[in-house]
Amino acid sequence: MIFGISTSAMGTEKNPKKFEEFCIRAKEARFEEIEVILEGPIFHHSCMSNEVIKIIKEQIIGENLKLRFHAPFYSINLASFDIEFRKLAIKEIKNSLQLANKLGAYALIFHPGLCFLPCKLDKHQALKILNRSLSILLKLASEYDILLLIENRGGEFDIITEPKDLITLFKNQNYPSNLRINFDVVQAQLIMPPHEYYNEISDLVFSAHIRDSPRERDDLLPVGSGDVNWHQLIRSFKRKNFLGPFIMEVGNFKNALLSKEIFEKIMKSDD
Amino acid sequence: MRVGLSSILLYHHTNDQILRILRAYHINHIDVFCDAPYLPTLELSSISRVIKFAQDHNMSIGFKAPSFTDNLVSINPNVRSLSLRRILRLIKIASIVNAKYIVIRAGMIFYSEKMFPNITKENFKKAFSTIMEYAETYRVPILLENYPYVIDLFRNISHFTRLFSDFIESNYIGIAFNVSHLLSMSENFSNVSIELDSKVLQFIRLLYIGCLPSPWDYPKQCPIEHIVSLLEKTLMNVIPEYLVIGSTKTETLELFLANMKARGILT
Repeated sequence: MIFGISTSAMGTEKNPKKFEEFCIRAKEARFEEIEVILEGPIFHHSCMSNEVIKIIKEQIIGENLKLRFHAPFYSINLASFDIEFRKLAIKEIKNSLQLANKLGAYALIFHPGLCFLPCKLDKHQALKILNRSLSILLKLASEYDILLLIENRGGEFDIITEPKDLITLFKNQNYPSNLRINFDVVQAQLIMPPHEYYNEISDLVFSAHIRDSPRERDDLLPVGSGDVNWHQLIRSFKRKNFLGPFIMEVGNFKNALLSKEIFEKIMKSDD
Repeated sequence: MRVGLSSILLYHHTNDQILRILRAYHINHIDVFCDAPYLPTLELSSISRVIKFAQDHNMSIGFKAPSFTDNLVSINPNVRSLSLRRILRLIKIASIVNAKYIVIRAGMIFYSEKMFPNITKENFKKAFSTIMEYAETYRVPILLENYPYVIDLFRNISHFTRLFSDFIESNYIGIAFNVSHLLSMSENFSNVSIELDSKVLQFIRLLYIGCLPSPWDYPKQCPIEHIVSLLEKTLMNVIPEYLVIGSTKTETLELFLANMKARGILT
């Protein structure tokens, strides 16, 4: 099994010193991957300081941990009818790919796009736009040699929410080898029981975000604190021999450790 | 009070269909929805049809700035910068075509903005200082619209004086009060009212109504009776310069207008 941890677990204390401590603790806790969310003044690609880059090089790459990035996602809409904002979305992901390539990250997670009310009136056109944007990104990802991981989403304003639509997106791109799914358990739960969602897309899943939440919410709670039926979900993972990477995407380090412990226990049980 | 309609109607109907309603209800203002898909780019040339229609029929115009993904307080510098540049560009266009105002969304506070409240506060201040400087130079009033979502910085208009305390001395700042947005924040439509002190009320220069969520006819609900009733209550306390109805359908627009006429809001 491969376990990783997201910088979401740094909580509110996001500064270079805390990041260094976070990386050291992650290594000590035997996480094998660190996922850096490229949002905010510390990690966004446009303002990542030399100090942070040094920490990534020394404490992640230098310590043989694997590095993956999560592209910016707020206001980032690959399916936008608005040309300027669509260009911005592509550029944000392109710059994230460049940074991934420069710093040695092997994968980049991104969200498929948003669907506000004009899109809801003409979703067909929005999906066409999304497909065009995705083609551009796949080409760039291949140039930078980075694996693209699209995340399943379940929010009111997300353009792709159903498993069948996610699969269609892959089909339209001829199932490219550098595109896989990062399965987000809580986002799946917004649509249907997560194990059912997973069963439909399992062949395309590369990794998973592990967190919990009450059914209608999008929280960053530890495993066992929300409504996810972990026994059912892990049974589905095991049936498909899916052993990770499982990235703990919770609100603090303590909850990441707790989640890993519970998750591992259920994985190892005979249930 | 000038009664207007949102330009989104123009894109779904012929001029003749709209003119019939304009004449029947004395509509003399157009609120130009400056966003995709109607305006693929924020350029003067993209708005030319609406501008010509307004000029041909002696109507005033105002602008509603793009607001779906634009975020003036985004922690992402590229999102923030593009959002600001677009508002400044729109102020210049408004000045050229004599638009009476620009309605904008104050900003959205997502997880990242919440994590860095001081930076977000600073970004807000910087963005609005620049916007108000432009607004005064080009003499285009900026109207802040209330939104119903939890992520929105400006949800409750009673917060206006606190949020915009640095700018309220300006003659170029005001509120576009969206009645439908207020209504959609409530579970019980019949119990919503607007109770504000006169310090805030005096800033309201425009009222929006439409299906929920306004102005699009992709409604979750369209309780016209409740919306017009709340509008009526609002008009007891507020004297706006503009009342704008947002809809993509002439039938919906006419239902609003007929209901307003029956209540004596329109003559």
